[in-house]
Amino acid sequence: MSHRALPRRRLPLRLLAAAAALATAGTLAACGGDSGAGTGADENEKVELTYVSYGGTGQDGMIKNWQQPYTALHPNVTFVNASPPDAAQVKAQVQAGVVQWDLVSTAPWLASQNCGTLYEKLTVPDVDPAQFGPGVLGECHIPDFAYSLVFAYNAEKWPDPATAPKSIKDFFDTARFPGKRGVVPALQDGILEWALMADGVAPDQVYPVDVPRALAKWESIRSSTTWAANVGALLQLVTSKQVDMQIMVQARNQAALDAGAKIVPVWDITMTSVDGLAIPKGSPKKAAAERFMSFILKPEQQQKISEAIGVAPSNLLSKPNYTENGAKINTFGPANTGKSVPVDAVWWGKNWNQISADFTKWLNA
Amino acid sequence: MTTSRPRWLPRPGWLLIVPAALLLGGTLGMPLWQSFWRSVHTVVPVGEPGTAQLTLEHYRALFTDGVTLRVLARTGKAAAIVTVVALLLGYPYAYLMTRVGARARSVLVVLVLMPFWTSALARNFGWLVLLYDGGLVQRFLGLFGLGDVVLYGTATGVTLAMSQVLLPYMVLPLYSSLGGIDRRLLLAARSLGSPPLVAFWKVYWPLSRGGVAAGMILVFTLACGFYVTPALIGSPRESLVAQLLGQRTTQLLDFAGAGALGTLVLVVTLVLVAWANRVGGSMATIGAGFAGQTRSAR
Repeated sequence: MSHRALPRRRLPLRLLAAAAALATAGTLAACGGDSGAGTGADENEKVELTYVSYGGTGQDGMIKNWQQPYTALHPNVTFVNASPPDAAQVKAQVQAGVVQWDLVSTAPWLASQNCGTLYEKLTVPDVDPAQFGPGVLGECHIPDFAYSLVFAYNAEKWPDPATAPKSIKDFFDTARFPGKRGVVPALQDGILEWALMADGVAPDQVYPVDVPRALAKWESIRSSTTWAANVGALLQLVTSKQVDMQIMVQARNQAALDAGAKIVPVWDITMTSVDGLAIPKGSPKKAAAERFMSFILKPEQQQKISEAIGVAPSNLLSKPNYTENGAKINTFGPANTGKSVPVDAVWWGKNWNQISADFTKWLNA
Repeated sequence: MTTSRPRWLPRPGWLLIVPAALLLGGTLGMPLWQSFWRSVHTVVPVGEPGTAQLTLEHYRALFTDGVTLRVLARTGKAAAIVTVVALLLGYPYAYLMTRVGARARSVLVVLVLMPFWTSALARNFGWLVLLYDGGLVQRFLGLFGLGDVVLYGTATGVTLAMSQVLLPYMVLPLYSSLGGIDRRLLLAARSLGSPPLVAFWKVYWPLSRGGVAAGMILVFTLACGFYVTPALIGSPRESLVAQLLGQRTTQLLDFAGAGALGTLVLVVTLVLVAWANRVGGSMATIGAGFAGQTRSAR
């Protein structure tokens, strides 16, 4: 195992450097991802891939529906799982030249922003681009599943469908629809794009995002909006009826329905996105990781993960069988009578840092 | 005692701190130095040639980005409130601990140490459940006509939870300090005609100031760096500085900017500690407080 390069700086005490080297070597030895296996450059070589994702039921679903079937087909390939998929860790590993992760869940904009520097450019074998939507296959990430954000309202607040919210304009219209709004301030889910389209921008005109205009739209409902710290917190707000309408991830809407919340999705315009799976730059097991990527992009694996963890397949040929509640909020199925707009990860990769700073400033104003 | 050692050789006693010094040097000193180094150098992108140049750009950005100073001020305010709340709750508690019997004292110690023995996550999720709208705390406040106070997702809720979590850091040094005060001094004051409150204010309080300063320094500095509690209970709209640091590190991968912010927080904290040290008494009372040493009146 290689050891971490110490920074080439003059230190008053050599002891410090020695101590750091000892400590680092100890940590690395304890992590041990290599355990005698090869790099898997050859298809039949024994290889152990370190797979890093968000943990919880999501990663359990990936283990059961992707990793275990793959190992059954290719007994020479085994997996070690870890979480969370912290991008700062990827950067630290790449900078230090000690890449221990082989497959890592990554926001598509992040993979796009750091393509070729922190993440490997991919050549995944046996993938038919015709089976995927436009812009979904990234240069440095594969879409390991798709998801969407759904605008839904509480039917107890607006029981009559005739007078209930019907378009995303209504989300921003507190005069006609007074009440609390809930949303997670996650730029990668397209919340600025939502605001622009509610403001009258055509769906094919949202990029480049007019940030001041989008923030002005959010400003107009600032006092009625609860910014949840994360999706779990938003789900709690929804099920305890502390918000009357919300923009929330599809899978959590199903959880809300399952918990008995009377939420009704509004099928107007919906932002869709994908979760990315990427390979940190310099992973010695790139070839083996790419063969696994090819496997999970197949319609069957996409169907399995969608049914298991309530996401949507990224492969258009895949048709999951959802539960009744799952079908009700499925943006990618027949229930959706509106329009879907994909988040442009490449554009976000180029503009993330500046907009993120502007957004944080606005949010904390 | 007849063996002589060369003058340049340190006393053997110093060898005792070598293991701790090595560990701290490797796991704290080195990373701290690296963070600082990054914060004063230009960023060379991964895989690209070039040498980092000295720069203060990352620090300039902190003062001009329009959000860092605001969040720093908010963090300082929250930490100050937590410190005062902890002092108001902790002082009488610590005083009581010095006045009761051994058995009652152990019960009080266990009670105050409880948060230490609970997992940080369990503690914070516990507060989460209590602070939700319609939760126990809000319903309790409702009895006094304060039912519409929103605690979850606000700075008020975060302050409440942090005060509980940090209370032991106030109580323990205070207890050591108060326990070392010679109560016969109070008797002397009373016998010379001083009313109880005046005796407390003129004799007891000045003697306890070292412990008060130690507790306040500990609570304030820890509160400044709190991450889990504001991240879970607070709102992204009211970020504290640790959340800003987290965002800069894990989302923007801006190690240099995060290093600059971290250094700034460290410097501000050290300056405040030095100031509190001058105002409140000796820094040594943190250590002396824990050791429970008796001090004489100054």
